[in-house]
Amino acid sequence: MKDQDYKKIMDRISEEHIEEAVSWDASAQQNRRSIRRMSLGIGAIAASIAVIVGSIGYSAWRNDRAGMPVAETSAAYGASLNLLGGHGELKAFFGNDDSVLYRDDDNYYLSDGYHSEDETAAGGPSPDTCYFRRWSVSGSTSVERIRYDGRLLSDGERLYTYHDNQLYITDSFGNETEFLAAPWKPFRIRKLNDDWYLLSAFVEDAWIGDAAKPYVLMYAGGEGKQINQFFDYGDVRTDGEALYYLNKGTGDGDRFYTASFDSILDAQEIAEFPDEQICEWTLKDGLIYWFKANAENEMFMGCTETKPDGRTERDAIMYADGDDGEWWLRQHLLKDKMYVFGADFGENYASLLRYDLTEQMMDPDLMQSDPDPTIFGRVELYSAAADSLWDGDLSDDMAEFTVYDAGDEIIFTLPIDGKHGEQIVQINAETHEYRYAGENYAPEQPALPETTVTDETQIPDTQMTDETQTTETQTETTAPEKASVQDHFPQAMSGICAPDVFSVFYIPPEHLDSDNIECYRMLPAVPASESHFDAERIKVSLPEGGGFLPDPNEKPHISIDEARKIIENGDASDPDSVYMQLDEASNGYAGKYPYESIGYVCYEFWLADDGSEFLIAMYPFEGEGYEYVYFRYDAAAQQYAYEILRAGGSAAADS
Amino acid sequence: MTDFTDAELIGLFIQRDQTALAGTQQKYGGLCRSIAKNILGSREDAEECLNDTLLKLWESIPPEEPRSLAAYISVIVRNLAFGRRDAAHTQKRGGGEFTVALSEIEDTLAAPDHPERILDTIAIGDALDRFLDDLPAETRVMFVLRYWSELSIREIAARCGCGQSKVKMTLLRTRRELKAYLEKEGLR
Repeated sequence: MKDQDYKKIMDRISEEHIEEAVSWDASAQQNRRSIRRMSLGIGAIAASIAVIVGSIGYSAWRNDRAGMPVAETSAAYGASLNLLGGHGELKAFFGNDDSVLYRDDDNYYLSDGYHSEDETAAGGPSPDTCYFRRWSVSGSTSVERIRYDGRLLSDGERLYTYHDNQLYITDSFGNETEFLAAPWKPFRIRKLNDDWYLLSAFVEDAWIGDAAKPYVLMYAGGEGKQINQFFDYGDVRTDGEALYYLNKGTGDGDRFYTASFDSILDAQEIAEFPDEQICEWTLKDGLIYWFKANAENEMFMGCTETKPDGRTERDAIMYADGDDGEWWLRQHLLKDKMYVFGADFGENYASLLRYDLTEQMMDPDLMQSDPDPTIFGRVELYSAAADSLWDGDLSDDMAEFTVYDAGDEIIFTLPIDGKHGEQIVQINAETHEYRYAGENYAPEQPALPETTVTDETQIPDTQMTDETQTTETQTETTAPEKASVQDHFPQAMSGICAPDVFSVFYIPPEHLDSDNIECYRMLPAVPASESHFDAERIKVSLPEGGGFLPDPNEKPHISIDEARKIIENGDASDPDSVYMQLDEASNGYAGKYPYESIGYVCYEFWLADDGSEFLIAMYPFEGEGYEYVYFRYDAAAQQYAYEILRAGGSAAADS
Repeated sequence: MTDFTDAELIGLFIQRDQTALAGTQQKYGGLCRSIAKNILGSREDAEECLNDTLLKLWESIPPEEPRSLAAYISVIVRNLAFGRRDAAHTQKRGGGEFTVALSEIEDTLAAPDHPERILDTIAIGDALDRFLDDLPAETRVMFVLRYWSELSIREIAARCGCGQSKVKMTLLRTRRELKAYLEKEGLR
């Protein structure tokens, strides 16, 4: 089509539609004064919303929880759900990289930051989308990625939300109090003391085009004082008595500064590190402990007194930070501790150690005497055989680890996923018992009894007599594998539909008589021209909110081989593109319906005119990405058999 | 600078107060730059186009007194951008958001297997406008921002306060529905 023809067509769009589009205000449309809630599909809770508008004076901060109404309980669950969809108060814990981990009575929620697809045109994060990885505190070890439609922040004590250019203090259930008018988009807030808060935000700067730039502002309430100051360096800490800044120099080295709370803009230099980079730092007992790297990328540990005069500085060669040969080691500072994770593939161990920070670590004479590490408060929090986690030497592939101190538990992320899908390690701080969690975590299963294994591309054509036998048949024909992050998904990659396995596609025995059908799926292997397919009647039997296009019998189809090729050759990291290719090749789906018991919306693509074969693309209510399941009517079993297909190839395809 | 309403800006234009230009640039400069940049593919050309747009506004108001300044300015910048594009003889599909958007929808608007058929752009355009009438507002907005304003998926997602996946899926389904609609109308 010629550009001009396209333009002429689009020029016919009325001014009314253009005006609506160019004036569209998503915030007004979405009624942003309502509290952001995690939608759980059928678990969604409607709670009363109370927004308290008050002054941002000192007294309001002190009394933030007094007199606040509690969200009304849900009739369905009998208890309020908090902002992230769990029960109980949300508590926040910071990691060594300043990321946030939340916990409530049910789950952990690890902030996954802003999804790249949600970046604004200005290049900064979307103002209203946060992602979390969620897993149960004590139940399932499956990690799900969930989306929070809003901006949730924490200073370590309080929770905050942001909308309508306003920062609010909130409780765990969305009861808000105005905190600060903020015409920029804060992504971090830290409480320095009762009067001072540190806010980091993206601020669009007209003079640098559309690119958003992070700025740091200091804000103080109490006595009406307020200072908004843009700092180019956002790394600010406090020991409660003074502020300390790290100024990342522009090539000539880094510097530490200090300032008192009374004269916050009058910073004095503490220490300078020419031609060196400070990688991490923390405060303890009047000292700044730091890791630094020199021009040769050698790592050192040291400490500096927190006063502008009489500075002292002690260096110690880092006893490990590298990935040289068969071992890999990293250390991080968190609060007043040092955490060291090491994996030695030659000696076959992986461990997480914790040390108390002490000046003694910088004493070269002491360190050279090879002291007992317990004098530094060394604790082995976690230890495992390296080959229980990984196959082979992965020292070149390790990325990073992040550690969180949640009080009674220590959480850390593995530097590379384990072979069974381990991603996160959750450690009891007292007993050091631990458990793994991961998006596709499946602990090693016992070996299966030797049986004839069917071709993975064929759905088993089995005789169904009772459920027990069906279960055994499923076990015999496929290796058990966690097929999806959803607990309601079948464990096996293929099998036969049963009342608790894809129940929507299960044919009840009383309906096997084709003269008494209620759904097109009851009439397999019948030519379309002879079928009793009735889209309107079928719609009635489907879950509410679903339906089929008027006459799917006449829609062109693709074969399962073509569909399989699209899915398995697709880019697993771009699930939308796989779906779109499938949709285009199929000339669109035949039907769409929600499958509420497992929290997915199903798009059904017919592969045969009589409905005996179809492919479902399942899109979760929460999160992103598709699950693909192929269904084929098995005449012998008189049920639909299923096979889960993986985008980008699959273990099933390879095994 | 104060945020002016559209009525205030039009008033300033009529009074020949040059604050109108700065106010318009502040309010609509971002949108206009996006429309122009996505058609022209060049930030520099987009800036020039924006300047031309402001000049055109200054020259046309008064006597024009547009009911919707947002729509009025969007039409001007879009037409100027297309004009500049034609003048530069950039007919070749060289990438950029405009060409991506066109490649998404051209098969929907016209049956590629009937090359001999004369494209009745007016009839198709009018049918498209009727089709848009019946869409949910957000869906319609996404469609117009994509195929009239030539905004990128990312820009549309930001404007609509949603993720890019939702925008992509909404556009995909809307294109399919439009295709069925045009077939039913006998226009493709």
